[in-house]
Amino acid sequence: MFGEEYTSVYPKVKNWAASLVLSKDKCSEILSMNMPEYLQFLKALSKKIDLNTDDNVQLEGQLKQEGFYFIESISRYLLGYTKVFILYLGKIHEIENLKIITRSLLNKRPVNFLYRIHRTSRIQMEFVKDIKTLDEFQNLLGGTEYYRLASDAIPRIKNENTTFYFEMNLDNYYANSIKKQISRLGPDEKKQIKNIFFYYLNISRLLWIYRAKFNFSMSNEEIIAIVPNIPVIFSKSAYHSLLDSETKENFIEKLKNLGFLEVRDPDHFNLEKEMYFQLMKKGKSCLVGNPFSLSVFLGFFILNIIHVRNLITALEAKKLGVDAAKIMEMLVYD
Amino acid sequence: MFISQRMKKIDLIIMKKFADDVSKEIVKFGNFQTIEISGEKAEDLLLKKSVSDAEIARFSDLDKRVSYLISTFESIMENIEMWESEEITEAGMIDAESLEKNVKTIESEVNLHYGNIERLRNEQRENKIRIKKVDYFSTQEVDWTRSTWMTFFTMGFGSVPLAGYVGFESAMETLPTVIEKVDTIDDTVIVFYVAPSSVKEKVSQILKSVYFKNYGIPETAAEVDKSSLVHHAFELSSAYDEEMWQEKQFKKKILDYRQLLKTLKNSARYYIAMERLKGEMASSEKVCIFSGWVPSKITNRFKKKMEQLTQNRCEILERSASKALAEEGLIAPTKLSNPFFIRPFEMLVSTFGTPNYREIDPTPLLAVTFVLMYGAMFGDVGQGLALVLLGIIIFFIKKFKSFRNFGTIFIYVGVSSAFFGLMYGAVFGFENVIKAIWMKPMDRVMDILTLSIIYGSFVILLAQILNIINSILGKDYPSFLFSRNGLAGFGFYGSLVYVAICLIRGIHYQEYIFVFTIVCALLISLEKYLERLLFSHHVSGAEDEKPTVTMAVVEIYESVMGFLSNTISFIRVGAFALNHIALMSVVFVLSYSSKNPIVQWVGLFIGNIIVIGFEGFIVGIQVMRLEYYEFFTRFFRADGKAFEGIGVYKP
Repeated sequence: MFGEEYTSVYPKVKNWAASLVLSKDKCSEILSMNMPEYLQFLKALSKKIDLNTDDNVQLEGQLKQEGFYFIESISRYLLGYTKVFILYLGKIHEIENLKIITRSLLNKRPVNFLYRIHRTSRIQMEFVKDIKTLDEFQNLLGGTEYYRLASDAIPRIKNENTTFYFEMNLDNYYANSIKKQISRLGPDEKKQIKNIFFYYLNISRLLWIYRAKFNFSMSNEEIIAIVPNIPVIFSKSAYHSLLDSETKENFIEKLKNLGFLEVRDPDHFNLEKEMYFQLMKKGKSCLVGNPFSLSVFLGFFILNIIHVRNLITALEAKKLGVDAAKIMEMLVYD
Repeated sequence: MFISQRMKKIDLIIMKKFADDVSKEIVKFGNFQTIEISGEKAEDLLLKKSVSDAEIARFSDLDKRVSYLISTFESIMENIEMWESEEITEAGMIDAESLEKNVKTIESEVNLHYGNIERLRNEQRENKIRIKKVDYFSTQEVDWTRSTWMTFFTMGFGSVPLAGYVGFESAMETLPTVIEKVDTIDDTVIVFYVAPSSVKEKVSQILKSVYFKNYGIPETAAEVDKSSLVHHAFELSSAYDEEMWQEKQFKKKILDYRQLLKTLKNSARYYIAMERLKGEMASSEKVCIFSGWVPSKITNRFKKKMEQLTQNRCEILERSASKALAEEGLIAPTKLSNPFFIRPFEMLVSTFGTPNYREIDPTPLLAVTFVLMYGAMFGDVGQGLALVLLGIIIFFIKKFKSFRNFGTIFIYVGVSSAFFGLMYGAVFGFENVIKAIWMKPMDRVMDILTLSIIYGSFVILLAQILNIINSILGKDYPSFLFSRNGLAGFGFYGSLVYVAICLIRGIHYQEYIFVFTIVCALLISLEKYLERLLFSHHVSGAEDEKPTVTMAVVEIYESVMGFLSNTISFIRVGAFALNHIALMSVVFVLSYSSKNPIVQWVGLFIGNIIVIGFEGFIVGIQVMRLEYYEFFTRFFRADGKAFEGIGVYKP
């Protein structure tokens, strides 16, 4: 009632959050390191995994993997529907695995990384490494909640040589399912989830709308069908108004008015970065708010995603020998 | 008891030809915790490390796959356990290739089964939709067969996966269309739509995006004839029957696989252990070295086995844990050695941490104080016996096997509650059924609170003594001499407790005792300074600090307040004893508010259950709090690492 069920969550999250690379100083610090120093820094930074590889793909995977372990770890301190919700939150990684596998099979590339998730899931490396075709993959999904989605999508993936529609369908499925999950939670939790986690889901969806509209020139009807307003962070009319934007600038202006971004530096504007910047601000406000609430963990979970994004951006850019000032422009910090 | 099992570091040097046999024996022996020989050390000894990461990963994958099969089968078979964790044995072991082959075979069986089930469910869905279609069109007074003549409108009847329905609905709403949600079957929504032909292109784009499956508008009267329902209903029931038959057959297969799965799981774990062992040894062309910790009491058995196996062609170097620490910087792992009746409490200790090799294991003390405090706080014969009964149920019911330790603890605390119930004269809240042997807490409120504080003082003193012993064992002399929980702290707190007891009991005490108290307080306040001065330790943040009066006063003030609040914390032992009676009074008042005796008894019954459930739980938490924060934090370092024998399965 008073958030007492979250008392043990707060100290853990506080401890984890202390090492997030989300400030200007920390970002500058990692950029001043040479590659071996940076790798050493990453190894020391990890709380729940041993970074035991120098391979980029593996390293990035291991950094992302930690997000799942945070969920697993926090779930041990929770009970009832909140625990169920937090564990369901982890399904985002299972969905990501599905996307990675489908892309790899379509492009006939080996699967280099998959999240290690619950032992009751077949959608992880041990079970898919011998799979060579999309049909075999569909068979593997037999008995899982994804079989139907895959059986609908695989003929189209083969025909059109794209996983886009399947991936969007998976995202819709996840957004719908998580909405169902929260229906059993209390009003405070619902509000907190909507405030931060749905906001995050919405950001990825807005980016897809932007790409679909201006990069793939898709019609409004098709975009609505593929990326419907499931999180309902803003009204139906605002959603339609966004779709009616005729130019990119118009779209960005509307996003600005909706509070999804602020154009801080018009010369170096990057839509994704600016949206993540707003997300980071929201995440940080969750950490300093009521310590005995679900939003503390949700805020951290989101901040960790941005933190990992920063670390991976820096890693890749360093490997490519990109100038530190240029990398700094790509990072999200305050 | 009190100290963990003594360990010895063993370096086993053998001819390489014996490596496989020795590895097998070590895994079988179980109680051998490997020490990885580093690459540098191996090079110094002119040896090489063998790399077994790929093999470990291979068997770990297989282990995970078998675990998945086990959990899947357990969820299908519900009450049948497919596998129980046990020590790795060689019995029924199969070779690595057969292990992989068998896992693949079972997996393909599972895939085939799920494939069949999905096919049948698809058939069921298809038939349900076709039945719905006939039902939908036949009930409307429209000649649907004429629909094909329409040129200005387009219409459709079909299904949309549930995941895409919001998108379908939202997108169709943007066009001048009419949609009707006919029904939802499983994860499919059946819809009927009508749209003007002018937006036909856009509609088909939307339908394609949401994986709309078209079942069509009836073109002939026969399609909407209700007699066609029989055909679909027959197909539907056949699909149901086949699904049931398939499930039954699959369950039979699962039972057949039970033994095989045990063997597969056992084998996978065995190979992982073997590969880990190989990865941690170092070898040359002719010899190899295994290094590890073995409990001292079984070292001779281990040595004999190895000598026998290698026909005495081995060299076994033994080192005590203290020698290994002094010469190689290796810290021995902790293997607790408590008698079986105390072992369930190890779980509560390990939640806080594992004792290090050189400190006292607090499990026996926790067991005694936990049971004692719980009983004192929840003293009631009836409710205590109810806890005992609950404990027995948990202990003996197979389904609760993993909670057996909790069951045992319930039995202990239940007995203690019943004992204190006798002391307090309380049975299910009734205070007039039996005579109190000791006292009725409500009649002597001050006495019970004072006793709680006195008990708390002794617990704190005990913790200080334990810290003194731990400091000596760990050669931490500054902590032993000057810390709040060392000799100085013991003198300071002990003298105050002595004075307090004298005051309570009206005994005269010598005033010079305060000199002793002040000296001890000064020593505590100068702890960091004295540590640096006498032991040349660099205490972080204290390098350049000179002791000042203010610092000393603050330190003393903090110590006094700390001890005071910690001592008063134990007042909850008495407070909960009173609280229990107050809660039961509420139960009585509420129950007796009705004049109907049946309602009264039901009220008392429910009230007792609530009190046992809620208060029992809260008392447990409070006791844990006292144990962890007031007792453990004073002496328990908890920085040890638990012993993990290579062949012993850790769930």
